[in-house]
Amino acid sequence: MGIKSLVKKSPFAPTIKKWKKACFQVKKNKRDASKLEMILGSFKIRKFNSISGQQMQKLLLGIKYPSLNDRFYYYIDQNVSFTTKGLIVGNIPVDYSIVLEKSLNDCRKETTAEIIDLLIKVIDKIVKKNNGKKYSLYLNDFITSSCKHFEEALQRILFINQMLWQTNHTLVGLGRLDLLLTPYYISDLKDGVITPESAELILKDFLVTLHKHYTYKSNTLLGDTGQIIILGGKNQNENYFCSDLTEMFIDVIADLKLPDPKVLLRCANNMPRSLMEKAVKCMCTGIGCPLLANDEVIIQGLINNGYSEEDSYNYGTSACWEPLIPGKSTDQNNMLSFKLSEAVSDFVSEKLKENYSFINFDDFLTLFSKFVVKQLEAGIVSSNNICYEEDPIQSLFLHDTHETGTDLSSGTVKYNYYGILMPGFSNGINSLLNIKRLVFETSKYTLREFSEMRESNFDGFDSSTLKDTGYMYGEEHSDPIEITNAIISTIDTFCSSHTNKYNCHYKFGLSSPSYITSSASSLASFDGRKNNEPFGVHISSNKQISYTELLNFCSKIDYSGHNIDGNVADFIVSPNFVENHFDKFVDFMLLSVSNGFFEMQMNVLSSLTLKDALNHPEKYKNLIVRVWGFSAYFNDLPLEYKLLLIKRTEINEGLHN
Amino acid sequence: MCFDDGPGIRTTVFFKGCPIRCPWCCNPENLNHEIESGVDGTVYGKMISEEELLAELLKDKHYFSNGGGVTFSGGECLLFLHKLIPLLKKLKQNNISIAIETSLFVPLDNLKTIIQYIDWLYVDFKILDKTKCFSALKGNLDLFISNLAFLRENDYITKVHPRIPLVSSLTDNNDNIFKIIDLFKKTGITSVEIFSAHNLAKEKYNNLRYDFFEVSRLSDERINDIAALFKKNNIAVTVLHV
Repeated sequence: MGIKSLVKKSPFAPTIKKWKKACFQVKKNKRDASKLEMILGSFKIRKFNSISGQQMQKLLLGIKYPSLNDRFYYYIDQNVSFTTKGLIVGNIPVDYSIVLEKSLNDCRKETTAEIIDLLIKVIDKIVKKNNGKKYSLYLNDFITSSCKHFEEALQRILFINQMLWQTNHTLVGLGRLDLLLTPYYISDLKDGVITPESAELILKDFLVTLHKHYTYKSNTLLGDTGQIIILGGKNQNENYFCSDLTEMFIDVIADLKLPDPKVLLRCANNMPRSLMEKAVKCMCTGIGCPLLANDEVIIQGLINNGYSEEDSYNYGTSACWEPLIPGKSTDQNNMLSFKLSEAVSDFVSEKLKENYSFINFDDFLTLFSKFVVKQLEAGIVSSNNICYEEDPIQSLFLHDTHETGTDLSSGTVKYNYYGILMPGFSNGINSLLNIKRLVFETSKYTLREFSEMRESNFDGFDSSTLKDTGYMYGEEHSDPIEITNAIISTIDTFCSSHTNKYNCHYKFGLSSPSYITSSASSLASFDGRKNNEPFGVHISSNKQISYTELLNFCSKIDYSGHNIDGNVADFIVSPNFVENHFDKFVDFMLLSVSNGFFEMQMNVLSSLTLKDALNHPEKYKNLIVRVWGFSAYFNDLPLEYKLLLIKRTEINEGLHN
Repeated sequence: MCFDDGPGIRTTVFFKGCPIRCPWCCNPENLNHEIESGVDGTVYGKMISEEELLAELLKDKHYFSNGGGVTFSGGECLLFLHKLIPLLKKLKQNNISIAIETSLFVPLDNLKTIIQYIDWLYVDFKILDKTKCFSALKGNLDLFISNLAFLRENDYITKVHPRIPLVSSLTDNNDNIFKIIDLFKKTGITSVEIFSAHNLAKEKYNNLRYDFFEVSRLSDERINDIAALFKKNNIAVTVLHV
């Protein structure tokens, strides 16, 4: 059976179809983004047939690298690209320590000689055009020497980053940059090569350089570039690592007020309060980052999932928040998505057709769990037919392929997990809560009546009453917590007993990027969500509840299993609330780390600002909001995202029921 | 979660029912004992058992560790707390600090019964002329004075954190301010928070179909003048910007 027919038969078919459509949209966006340059330069898009070998040579050497007067050399020709058959592994960071600690010649092996020579030729081309410039010296040194300086390190990272973007990689992550760069920073400070002030300017230029090609780099929506920088984090000796550079990164990001690149701050009980203060101040600028990841929960979760202890302490993430090991993972954390609310609807329809009579809710839940496993089993079939494209540049800078001189497409990278996204997870849990309460506990409706209401899109019925039938998802109460953990346990059991073709277990996460795109064709669900209405956003409540309530709920989720693929508590805070209680808010954040959230992000926004921005976009050209794992300019968002954000902000302010 | 009603991160419990009627009250939904509905369908208040309340309060125990805790407010919480001694005991057993926001216009016994469990009392000083107090607030000033005396005589005065809502023509006149300063001196109070009353509760009044008393915001200059009077008498002043 071919991939196409498998895809068609899969219960994930709509998802995959949408994924393909999304991919097409991305390509289309990229084409649109390139249009202007094409018209101006009368270029034609040159397409190459494979990422490997001669085609790559043609592509990279065919580019006319311009002369640049910037601090850093960074150039992507948006008019050339590859056509590939396999999946180009994106959404990961390479191991930038290889880039810094080794020269290109150090990386040379029999199998990698061709790509090394190609990179050297590219450097030669750039240097020839820019002879005598500082960055040319840095690039030349890359051929023969390990990195010695802070600025040089940033140029090397940019060069490899540029090569990856140029060769069709998407969502190119940046890894733990403060950890990697601190030795170079300290050494240059000591030798008087830089001062903290000059280093800040260098860092600013580095981030502004990465921000170039913002449209070209964006994935499903503008801003979704995946350029994530990981900061801070516990060492294996349980000490918390951070440095002056960690704070400098946050300061510069806050100062630049750009939606991209973005930062994720790894938090721990023993992190300095001053660092959390910096993080909160950065969030208060409204740019939606840093996202906070909790080492106290995530590291053990990774260890439980088969990542080595050493690697687990060194975790980073994919483009949004899905933990992986930088340079040691080709984890495809967004490989599949599973819509729990649709599964509830489908299950009820199936059982009603069978005229099955449930004994009680426990009976319902037991059979539903089996149904979920069946759906997941069918879904993963197609994912195992996906092949990775040969990827010589990325393979050069991933730890295991670097060591062995192999290509990542052969599966030689240590970690090759596949992640399952769970859009509409909260809608699914709330659907189950409503069925429990309204069908089995109060007998307000029969299951058939309730199902007919849902199928009619709640025609003639105030479906908003179904959104608050008691304690719902996100509230700290045994009802939602027990059902959430029961479903997690079901999916976890499935993941424990299934591996992909690389013999890695599946993993899943409760936060999903596609809460609007996935819901666009999703019919009404038992939680009162009408046809095509957006799904719930990550781990959040659709009611006005306190932040502690949501975080208490998060801390009671069982993270000991395979549900480590991103679990983000998402909430909105009024700017005045933080500003008027800054110290207490920092207390709250630090206490939340010890309370045990997995990940957390917030928008610091007021509905008045958003509504004004909706009506007067010209006044808010620089207004940035957090969308899912990325931030974007509010004006660039599709209308449905804007409206949802306004609604959620109003709920937070008690203005919307 | 609340950041305003005492030290640290707190959970505030609002009781319904109050013995006085301050025209500037910003919690009109808590004046009456009964559960009420607004014009827009908002339901103000709900019945909750002592066990349920305790469970709710313990939810945020983790967040109370930096000196935070539970604050009982209202309405007038001292009308009810003496009936909730087991709850107060359990909070203390869990090392949770307890604060109250009170007008002190309650029978002395209500205060006596619970004071041992209370770590922090926010007490509003309003109108200290007996006649004007009754006329404006429907409050018996003698209760307030005797409760304050009890706190002073039994060494609880350090737990008292006085606040003065400055309301034009009601509490802000110099005569009233001097009376408050005299009372502070007699009771050993050395600091106070002052703030201009506001109109933020207007929508709630309208929703509940209550008459709304619109206050005129005091000028910064007038607030500073009042602050200066306290400072002149060696009373530390914090101006809250509400």
